[in-house]
Amino acid sequence: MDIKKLEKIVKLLKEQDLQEIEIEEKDSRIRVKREVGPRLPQVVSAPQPPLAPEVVAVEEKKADKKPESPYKIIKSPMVGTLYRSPGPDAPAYVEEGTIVNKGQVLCIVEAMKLMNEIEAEMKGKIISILVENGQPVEYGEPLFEIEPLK
Amino acid sequence: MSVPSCCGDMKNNGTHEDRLKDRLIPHEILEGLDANFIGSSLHLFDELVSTNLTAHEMAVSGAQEGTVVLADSQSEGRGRRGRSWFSPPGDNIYTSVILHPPVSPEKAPQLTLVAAVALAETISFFLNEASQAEPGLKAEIKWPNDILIGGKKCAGILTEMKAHAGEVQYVVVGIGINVNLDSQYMPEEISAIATSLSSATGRDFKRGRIIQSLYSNMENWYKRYLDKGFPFIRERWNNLSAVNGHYVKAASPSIKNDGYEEGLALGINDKGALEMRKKDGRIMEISAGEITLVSAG
Repeated sequence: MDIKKLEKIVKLLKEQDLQEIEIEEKDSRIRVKREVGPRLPQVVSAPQPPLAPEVVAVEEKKADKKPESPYKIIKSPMVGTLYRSPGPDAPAYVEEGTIVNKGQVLCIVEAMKLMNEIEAEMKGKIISILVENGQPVEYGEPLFEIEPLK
Repeated sequence: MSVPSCCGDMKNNGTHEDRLKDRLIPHEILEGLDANFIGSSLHLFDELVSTNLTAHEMAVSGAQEGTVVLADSQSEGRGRRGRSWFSPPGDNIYTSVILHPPVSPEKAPQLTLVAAVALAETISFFLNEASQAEPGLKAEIKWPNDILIGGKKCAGILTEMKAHAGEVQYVVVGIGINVNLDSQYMPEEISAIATSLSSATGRDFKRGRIIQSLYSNMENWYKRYLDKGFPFIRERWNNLSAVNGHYVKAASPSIKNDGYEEGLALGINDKGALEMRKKDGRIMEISAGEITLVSAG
Protein backbone atom coordinates (compact mmCIF):
# COMPACT_ATOMS: atom_id res chain seq x y z
CA MET A 1 0.00 0.00 0.00
CA ASP A 2 1.64 3.27 -0.97
CA ILE A 3 1.37 6.27 1.28
CA LYS A 4 -0.13 8.56 -1.37
CA LYS A 5 -3.03 6.20 -1.78
CA LEU A 6 -3.52 6.16 1.98
CA GLU A 7 -3.49 9.94 2.10
CA LYS A 8 -6.15 10.06 -0.61
CA ILE A 9 -8.34 7.71 1.37
CA VAL A 10 -7.95 9.76 4.54
CA LYS A 11 -8.82 12.91 2.60
CA LEU A 12 -11.89 11.27 1.12
CA LEU A 13 -12.95 10.13 4.60
CA LYS A 14 -12.76 13.67 5.94
CA GLU A 15 -14.32 15.35 2.91
CA GLN A 16 -17.25 12.99 2.78
CA ASP A 17 -17.56 13.01 6.58
CA LEU A 18 -17.48 9.24 6.64
CA GLN A 19 -16.76 7.07 9.65
CA GLU A 20 -14.94 4.31 7.93
CA ILE A 21 -13.65 3.18 4.53
CA GLU A 22 -12.63 -0.34 3.72
CA ILE A 23 -10.95 -1.26 0.47
CA GLU A 24 -10.13 -4.79 -0.49
CA GLU A 25 -7.70 -5.67 -3.24
CA LYS A 26 -6.10 -8.81 -4.51
CA ASP A 27 -3.55 -9.26 -1.79
CA SER A 28 -4.43 -6.77 0.88
CA ARG A 29 -7.20 -5.08 2.71
CA ILE A 30 -7.12 -1.58 4.14
CA ARG A 31 -9.50 -0.07 6.60
CA VAL A 32 -9.39 3.59 7.60
CA LYS A 33 -11.54 4.54 10.51
CA ARG A 34 -12.36 7.82 12.20
CA GLU A 35 -13.43 7.92 15.82
CA VAL A 36 -16.11 10.41 16.74
CA GLY A 37 -15.41 12.45 19.85
CA PRO A 38 -12.35 12.65 22.05
CA ARG A 39 -10.99 9.77 24.03
CA LEU A 40 -9.54 11.69 26.94
CA PRO A 41 -11.61 12.02 30.06
CA GLN A 42 -12.91 15.51 30.68
CA VAL A 43 -14.84 17.48 33.25
CA VAL A 44 -18.61 17.41 33.25
CA SER A 45 -19.00 21.10 32.49
CA ALA A 46 -16.31 21.29 29.86
CA PRO A 47 -17.38 22.89 26.58
CA GLN A 48 -17.94 20.61 23.65
CA PRO A 49 -14.59 20.12 21.91
CA PRO A 50 -14.53 20.04 18.14
CA LEU A 51 -14.71 16.71 16.41
CA ALA A 52 -11.29 15.22 16.81
CA PRO A 53 -10.66 13.09 13.77
CA GLU A 54 -8.49 10.24 14.74
CA VAL A 55 -7.30 8.24 11.84
CA VAL A 56 -6.37 4.66 12.33
CA ALA A 57 -5.08 2.73 9.39
CA VAL A 58 -4.99 -1.00 9.50
CA GLU A 59 -3.45 -3.07 6.81
CA GLU A 60 -3.81 -6.77 6.92
CA LYS A 61 -2.14 -9.36 4.80
CA LYS A 62 -4.59 -11.98 3.79
CA ALA A 63 -2.07 -14.68 3.07
CA ASP A 64 0.14 -16.56 5.51
CA LYS A 65 -2.56 -17.13 8.10
CA LYS A 66 -1.98 -20.48 9.66
CA PRO A 67 -4.28 -21.80 12.35
CA GLU A 68 -2.40 -22.20 15.60
CA SER A 69 -4.97 -24.40 17.24
CA PRO A 70 -7.76 -26.60 15.89
CA TYR A 71 -10.13 -24.69 18.17
CA LYS A 72 -11.74 -21.34 17.47
CA ILE A 73 -11.89 -18.71 20.17
CA ILE A 74 -15.04 -16.62 20.65
CA LYS A 75 -14.06 -13.22 22.03
CA SER A 76 -16.02 -10.50 23.78
CA PRO A 77 -16.91 -7.61 21.45
CA MET A 78 -17.11 -5.15 24.34
CA VAL A 79 -16.39 -4.41 27.98
CA GLY A 80 -19.16 -5.60 30.27
CA THR A 81 -20.48 -8.33 32.50
CA LEU A 82 -20.96 -11.84 31.17
CA TYR A 83 -24.09 -13.83 31.86
CA ARG A 84 -24.31 -17.48 30.94
CA SER A 85 -28.12 -17.64 31.11
CA PRO A 86 -31.04 -15.43 30.00
CA GLY A 87 -32.10 -14.79 33.62
CA PRO A 88 -30.85 -15.49 37.15
CA ASP A 89 -32.99 -18.62 37.53
CA ALA A 90 -32.74 -19.85 33.96
CA PRO A 91 -30.43 -22.66 32.86
CA ALA A 92 -27.17 -21.78 31.13
CA TYR A 93 -27.26 -21.33 27.36
CA VAL A 94 -24.42 -23.83 26.89
CA GLU A 95 -22.14 -26.09 28.91
CA GLU A 96 -18.80 -27.61 28.04
CA GLY A 97 -19.46 -30.39 25.57
CA THR A 98 -22.63 -28.78 24.14
CA ILE A 99 -22.90 -29.01 20.36
CA VAL A 100 -24.00 -25.64 19.03
CA ASN A 101 -25.27 -24.53 15.65
CA LYS A 102 -24.19 -21.41 13.83
CA GLY A 103 -26.08 -18.45 15.28
CA GLN A 104 -26.94 -20.18 18.56
CA VAL A 105 -26.68 -17.91 21.61
CA LEU A 106 -23.74 -18.78 23.88
CA CYS A 107 -23.97 -16.01 26.49
CA ILE A 108 -24.89 -12.37 27.06
CA VAL A 109 -22.49 -9.51 27.67
CA GLU A 110 -24.14 -6.51 29.33
CA ALA A 111 -22.93 -2.95 29.61
CA MET A 112 -25.09 0.05 30.53
CA LYS A 113 -28.13 -2.21 30.23
CA LEU A 114 -27.37 -3.02 26.61
CA MET A 115 -27.63 -6.76 26.19
CA ASN A 116 -25.40 -8.30 23.58
CA GLU A 117 -26.15 -11.91 22.78
CA ILE A 118 -22.95 -13.60 21.72
CA GLU A 119 -23.62 -16.19 19.03
CA ALA A 120 -21.68 -19.15 17.73
CA GLU A 121 -20.00 -18.21 14.47
CA MET A 122 -20.08 -21.79 13.25
CA LYS A 123 -21.41 -25.20 14.14
CA GLY A 124 -19.17 -26.71 16.77
CA LYS A 125 -18.59 -28.27 20.14
CA ILE A 126 -17.91 -26.15 23.21
CA ILE A 127 -14.51 -27.30 24.42
CA SER A 128 -14.08 -24.89 27.27
CA ILE A 129 -15.87 -21.97 28.89
CA LEU A 130 -13.26 -19.43 29.89
CA VAL A 131 -15.37 -16.96 31.91
CA GLU A 132 -17.62 -17.53 34.91
CA ASN A 133 -21.20 -16.26 35.13
CA GLY A 134 -21.34 -12.66 36.35
CA GLN A 135 -17.67 -12.02 35.71
CA PRO A 136 -16.50 -8.73 34.16
CA VAL A 137 -15.01 -9.13 30.69
CA GLU A 138 -12.72 -6.91 28.68
CA TYR A 139 -12.85 -6.07 24.99
CA GLY A 140 -11.40 -8.97 23.02
CA GLU A 141 -11.27 -11.28 26.02
CA PRO A 142 -11.58 -14.97 25.05
CA LEU A 143 -14.91 -16.39 26.24
CA PHE A 144 -15.27 -19.82 24.65
CA GLU A 145 -13.11 -22.37 22.88
CA ILE A 146 -15.04 -24.14 20.13
CA GLU A 147 -14.12 -27.12 18.01
CA PRO A 148 -15.60 -26.46 14.55
CA LEU A 149 -17.78 -29.30 13.23
CA LYS A 150 -19.19 -29.87 9.77
CA MET B 1 -41.80 9.09 4.36
CA SER B 2 -42.88 5.60 3.49
CA VAL B 3 -46.43 4.38 3.60
CA PRO B 4 -47.33 3.12 7.05
CA SER B 5 -47.89 -0.54 7.34
CA CYS B 6 -50.41 -1.64 9.86
CA CYS B 7 -50.15 -5.16 10.98
CA GLY B 8 -52.57 -6.73 13.36
CA ASP B 9 -56.08 -5.75 14.19
CA MET B 10 -56.77 -2.79 16.43
CA LYS B 11 -60.48 -3.47 16.95
CA ASN B 12 -61.76 -3.25 20.46
CA ASN B 13 -62.05 -6.81 21.62
CA GLY B 14 -63.93 -5.88 24.75
CA THR B 15 -61.15 -6.71 27.16
CA HIS B 16 -60.70 -3.07 28.07
CA GLU B 17 -63.53 -0.56 27.86
CA ASP B 18 -61.22 2.42 27.50
CA ARG B 19 -59.49 1.11 24.42
CA LEU B 20 -61.63 3.00 21.94
CA LYS B 21 -60.92 6.23 23.81
CA ASP B 22 -57.25 6.29 22.92
CA ARG B 23 -56.72 4.05 19.95
CA LEU B 24 -53.35 4.09 18.26
CA ILE B 25 -53.81 4.80 14.55
CA PRO B 26 -50.69 4.66 12.35
CA HIS B 27 -51.60 7.46 9.93
CA GLU B 28 -52.47 9.78 12.82
CA ILE B 29 -49.09 9.13 14.39
CA LEU B 30 -47.28 9.62 11.07
CA GLU B 31 -49.14 12.80 10.15
CA GLY B 32 -47.86 14.68 13.16
CA LEU B 33 -44.44 13.08 13.24
CA ASP B 34 -41.52 15.48 13.11
CA ALA B 35 -38.79 12.95 12.32
CA ASN B 36 -37.09 11.91 9.11
CA PHE B 37 -36.25 8.29 9.73
CA ILE B 38 -37.30 7.15 13.19
CA GLY B 39 -40.91 6.06 12.81
CA SER B 40 -41.05 6.54 9.04
CA SER B 41 -41.63 2.82 8.79
CA LEU B 42 -44.14 2.11 11.53
CA HIS B 43 -45.52 -1.32 12.36
CA LEU B 44 -48.40 -1.28 14.78
CA PHE B 45 -49.78 -4.43 16.36
CA ASP B 46 -52.71 -5.12 18.61
CA GLU B 47 -50.71 -7.51 20.76
CA LEU B 48 -47.20 -8.88 20.54
CA VAL B 49 -45.20 -11.25 22.70
CA SER B 50 -42.72 -8.39 22.97
CA THR B 51 -41.93 -5.50 20.64
CA ASN B 52 -38.20 -6.25 20.98
CA LEU B 53 -38.71 -9.80 19.76
CA THR B 54 -40.60 -8.65 16.66
CA ALA B 55 -38.04 -5.89 16.06
CA HIS B 56 -35.25 -8.50 16.12
CA GLU B 57 -37.07 -10.56 13.50
CA MET B 58 -37.57 -7.49 11.32
CA ALA B 59 -33.95 -6.39 11.72
CA VAL B 60 -32.72 -9.84 10.69
CA SER B 61 -34.93 -9.62 7.59
CA GLY B 62 -33.34 -6.30 6.69
CA ALA B 63 -35.51 -3.61 8.30
CA GLN B 64 -34.07 -0.17 7.64
CA GLU B 65 -32.70 2.38 10.09
CA GLY B 66 -35.41 3.90 12.25
CA THR B 67 -38.03 1.21 11.67
CA VAL B 68 -40.32 1.09 14.69
CA VAL B 69 -42.51 -1.59 16.18
CA LEU B 70 -45.40 -0.48 18.34
CA ALA B 71 -47.86 -2.64 20.26
CA ASP B 72 -51.00 -1.86 22.21
CA SER B 73 -50.14 -4.69 24.59
CA GLN B 74 -47.45 -7.32 25.14
CA SER B 75 -48.07 -10.83 26.42
CA GLU B 76 -44.48 -11.21 27.61
CA GLY B 77 -43.05 -7.70 27.88
CA ARG B 78 -39.47 -7.99 28.98
CA GLY B 79 -37.15 -6.15 31.32
CA ARG B 80 -33.54 -6.67 32.23
CA ARG B 81 -32.29 -10.21 32.94
CA GLY B 82 -35.51 -12.10 32.31
CA ARG B 83 -37.77 -9.78 34.29
CA SER B 84 -41.20 -9.00 32.96
CA TRP B 85 -42.63 -5.60 32.03
CA PHE B 86 -46.31 -5.21 32.92
CA SER B 87 -47.93 -4.54 29.53
CA PRO B 88 -51.75 -4.31 29.63
CA PRO B 89 -53.68 -2.94 26.60
CA GLY B 90 -55.10 0.53 26.05
CA ASP B 91 -53.07 2.61 28.46
CA ASN B 92 -49.36 2.47 27.87
CA ILE B 93 -46.69 2.67 25.20
CA TYR B 94 -44.56 -0.31 24.16
CA THR B 95 -42.26 0.36 21.27
CA SER B 96 -38.95 -0.78 19.81
CA VAL B 97 -36.71 1.18 17.47
CA ILE B 98 -34.29 -0.54 15.08
CA LEU B 99 -30.99 1.28 14.57
CA HIS B 100 -27.89 0.53 12.52
CA PRO B 101 -25.45 2.84 14.30
CA PRO B 102 -22.08 3.41 12.59
CA VAL B 103 -20.21 2.82 15.84
CA SER B 104 -18.15 -0.09 17.15
CA PRO B 105 -19.86 -2.68 19.37
CA GLU B 106 -17.70 -1.38 22.19
CA LYS B 107 -19.36 2.03 22.01
CA ALA B 108 -22.89 0.81 21.35
CA PRO B 109 -23.85 0.73 25.08
CA GLN B 110 -23.73 4.53 24.96
CA LEU B 111 -26.91 4.35 22.88
CA THR B 112 -28.85 3.31 25.97
CA LEU B 113 -27.90 6.63 27.55
CA VAL B 114 -28.80 8.51 24.37
CA ALA B 115 -32.24 6.87 24.49
CA ALA B 116 -32.56 7.73 28.20
CA VAL B 117 -31.99 11.43 27.50
CA ALA B 118 -34.58 11.40 24.70
CA LEU B 119 -37.11 9.54 26.84
CA ALA B 120 -36.60 11.77 29.89
CA GLU B 121 -37.08 14.90 27.76
CA THR B 122 -40.25 13.46 26.25
CA ILE B 123 -41.75 12.67 29.63
CA SER B 124 -40.64 16.03 31.06
CA PHE B 125 -42.41 17.85 28.24
CA PHE B 126 -45.75 16.17 28.99
CA LEU B 127 -45.31 16.58 32.73
CA ASN B 128 -44.74 20.30 32.26
CA GLU B 129 -47.72 20.59 29.97
CA ALA B 130 -49.98 18.82 32.43
CA SER B 131 -48.67 19.90 35.75
CA GLN B 132 -49.42 23.59 36.04
CA ALA B 133 -51.38 22.57 39.10
CA GLU B 134 -48.40 20.68 40.45
CA PRO B 135 -45.23 22.44 39.37
CA GLY B 136 -41.93 20.86 40.19
CA LEU B 137 -42.72 17.45 38.77
CA LYS B 138 -39.87 16.32 36.60
CA ALA B 139 -38.56 13.24 34.87
CA GLU B 140 -35.15 12.07 36.05
CA ILE B 141 -32.86 9.28 34.90
CA LYS B 142 -31.73 6.54 37.23
CA TRP B 143 -28.55 5.07 35.82
CA PRO B 144 -28.36 3.84 33.22
CA ASN B 145 -31.78 4.47 31.72
CA ASP B 146 -34.81 4.14 33.98
CA ILE B 147 -37.04 7.20 34.01
CA LEU B 148 -38.38 8.24 37.41
CA ILE B 149 -41.04 10.72 38.45
CA GLY B 150 -40.83 11.54 42.14
CA GLY B 151 -38.52 8.56 42.69
CA LYS B 152 -40.92 6.07 41.06
CA LYS B 153 -40.32 4.36 37.76
CA CYS B 154 -42.47 5.60 34.91
CA ALA B 155 -40.55 4.24 31.93
CA GLY B 156 -37.79 1.81 31.14
CA ILE B 157 -35.50 0.88 28.28
CA LEU B 158 -34.13 -2.51 27.26
CA THR B 159 -31.54 -2.35 24.50
CA GLU B 160 -30.32 -5.41 22.66
CA MET B 161 -27.53 -5.62 20.12
CA LYS B 162 -26.42 -8.09 17.50
CA ALA B 163 -22.78 -7.76 16.55
CA HIS B 164 -20.64 -9.87 14.29
CA ALA B 165 -16.94 -9.81 13.54
CA GLY B 166 -16.37 -6.52 15.31
CA GLU B 167 -19.31 -4.75 13.70
CA VAL B 168 -22.74 -3.82 14.96
CA GLN B 169 -25.36 -5.55 12.83
CA TYR B 170 -28.22 -3.74 14.49
CA VAL B 171 -29.46 -2.42 17.82
CA VAL B 172 -33.02 -2.70 19.11
CA VAL B 173 -34.02 -0.05 21.65
CA GLY B 174 -37.13 -1.24 23.48
CA ILE B 175 -39.07 1.36 25.44
CA GLY B 176 -41.99 0.97 27.83
CA ILE B 177 -43.83 4.01 29.18
CA ASN B 178 -46.61 3.88 31.77
CA VAL B 179 -48.98 6.53 30.45
CA ASN B 180 -52.62 6.29 31.52
CA LEU B 181 -52.33 3.21 33.70
CA ASP B 182 -53.61 3.95 37.18
CA SER B 183 -51.01 2.74 39.66
CA GLN B 184 -53.76 1.06 41.70
CA TYR B 185 -54.16 -1.42 38.82
CA MET B 186 -50.49 -2.32 38.80
CA PRO B 187 -49.40 -5.67 40.19
CA GLU B 188 -48.58 -5.53 43.89
CA GLU B 189 -44.86 -6.12 43.39
CA ILE B 190 -44.45 -2.96 41.32
CA SER B 191 -47.20 -0.62 42.58
CA ALA B 192 -45.00 0.75 45.36
CA ILE B 193 -42.08 1.51 43.07
CA ALA B 194 -43.80 2.36 39.78
CA THR B 195 -45.92 5.23 38.57
CA SER B 196 -47.45 6.53 35.35
CA LEU B 197 -47.83 9.94 33.75
CA SER B 198 -51.51 10.00 34.71
CA SER B 199 -50.90 8.83 38.29
CA ALA B 200 -48.29 11.57 38.69
CA THR B 201 -50.39 14.37 37.21
CA GLY B 202 -54.01 13.30 37.71
CA ARG B 203 -54.92 13.58 34.05
CA ASP B 204 -54.95 11.38 30.96
CA PHE B 205 -52.75 11.71 27.89
CA LYS B 206 -53.10 10.95 24.18
CA ARG B 207 -50.57 8.20 23.60
CA GLY B 208 -50.10 9.14 19.95
CA ARG B 209 -48.70 12.56 20.85
CA ILE B 210 -46.22 11.05 23.28
CA ILE B 211 -45.13 8.52 20.66
CA GLN B 212 -44.57 11.32 18.11
CA SER B 213 -42.54 13.30 20.59
CA LEU B 214 -40.51 10.24 21.59
CA TYR B 215 -39.55 9.34 18.00
CA SER B 216 -38.64 12.93 17.24
CA ASN B 217 -36.52 13.30 20.40
CA MET B 218 -34.87 9.93 19.78
CA GLU B 219 -33.90 10.99 16.28
CA ASN B 220 -32.56 14.36 17.43
CA TRP B 221 -30.44 12.92 20.22
CA TYR B 222 -29.23 10.02 18.08
CA LYS B 223 -28.12 12.47 15.37
CA ARG B 224 -26.39 14.66 17.95
CA TYR B 225 -24.60 11.62 19.33
CA LEU B 226 -23.36 10.62 15.88
CA ASP B 227 -22.43 14.19 14.91
CA LYS B 228 -20.98 15.54 18.14
CA GLY B 229 -19.96 12.50 20.10
CA PHE B 230 -20.75 11.15 23.52
CA PRO B 231 -19.56 14.09 25.70
CA PHE B 232 -22.54 16.08 24.42
CA ILE B 233 -24.89 13.34 25.61
CA ARG B 234 -23.01 12.89 28.84
CA GLU B 235 -23.52 16.49 29.86
CA ARG B 236 -27.27 16.35 29.28
CA TRP B 237 -27.55 12.95 30.96
CA ASN B 238 -25.79 14.26 34.06
CA ASN B 239 -28.20 17.23 34.17
CA LEU B 240 -31.17 14.86 34.11
CA SER B 241 -29.70 12.36 36.58
CA ALA B 242 -31.67 11.22 39.61
CA VAL B 243 -28.58 9.71 41.21
CA ASN B 244 -25.76 12.26 40.95
CA GLY B 245 -24.90 13.55 44.42
CA HIS B 246 -26.86 10.78 46.12
CA TYR B 247 -25.73 7.68 47.95
CA VAL B 248 -26.43 4.61 45.90
CA LYS B 249 -26.05 0.89 46.14
CA ALA B 250 -24.71 -0.83 43.05
CA ALA B 251 -25.59 -4.47 42.59
CA SER B 252 -23.85 -6.60 40.01
CA PRO B 253 -22.46 -10.12 40.14
CA SER B 254 -19.23 -8.63 38.84
CA ILE B 255 -18.71 -6.71 42.11
CA LYS B 256 -16.46 -8.75 44.37
CA ASN B 257 -17.87 -7.59 47.68
CA ASP B 258 -20.84 -10.02 47.76
CA GLY B 259 -22.11 -8.37 44.60
CA TYR B 260 -22.83 -5.05 46.33
CA GLU B 261 -21.03 -1.78 46.79
CA GLU B 262 -22.21 1.54 48.20
CA GLY B 263 -21.02 5.04 47.56
CA LEU B 264 -21.74 8.55 46.40
CA ALA B 265 -22.80 8.70 42.75
CA LEU B 266 -20.73 11.29 40.91
CA GLY B 267 -22.12 10.98 37.38
CA ILE B 268 -21.33 9.17 34.17
CA ASN B 269 -17.91 9.26 32.56
CA ASP B 270 -16.90 9.30 28.91
CA LYS B 271 -17.71 5.65 28.49
CA GLY B 272 -21.16 6.02 30.04
CA ALA B 273 -20.22 4.12 33.18
CA LEU B 274 -21.40 5.56 36.50
CA GLU B 275 -18.61 6.78 38.75
CA MET B 276 -19.16 6.27 42.44
CA ARG B 277 -16.97 7.40 45.36
CA LYS B 278 -16.75 4.66 47.96
CA LYS B 279 -16.39 5.32 51.69
CA ASP B 280 -12.65 4.70 51.46
CA GLY B 281 -12.46 7.57 48.97
CA ARG B 282 -11.71 5.40 45.99
CA ILE B 283 -13.63 5.93 42.75
CA MET B 284 -15.36 2.92 41.33
CA GLU B 285 -16.77 2.59 37.83
CA ILE B 286 -20.09 0.79 37.38
CA SER B 287 -20.81 -0.44 33.88
CA ALA B 288 -23.29 -3.25 34.46
CA GLY B 289 -25.92 -4.25 36.97
CA GLU B 290 -28.36 -2.05 38.86
CA ILE B 291 -28.34 1.02 41.06
CA THR B 292 -30.66 1.78 43.95
CA LEU B 293 -30.81 5.02 45.88
CA VAL B 294 -30.07 4.67 49.60
CA SER B 295 -30.45 7.18 52.41
CA ALA B 296 -27.28 9.16 53.14
CA GLY B 297 -24.79 7.10 55.07
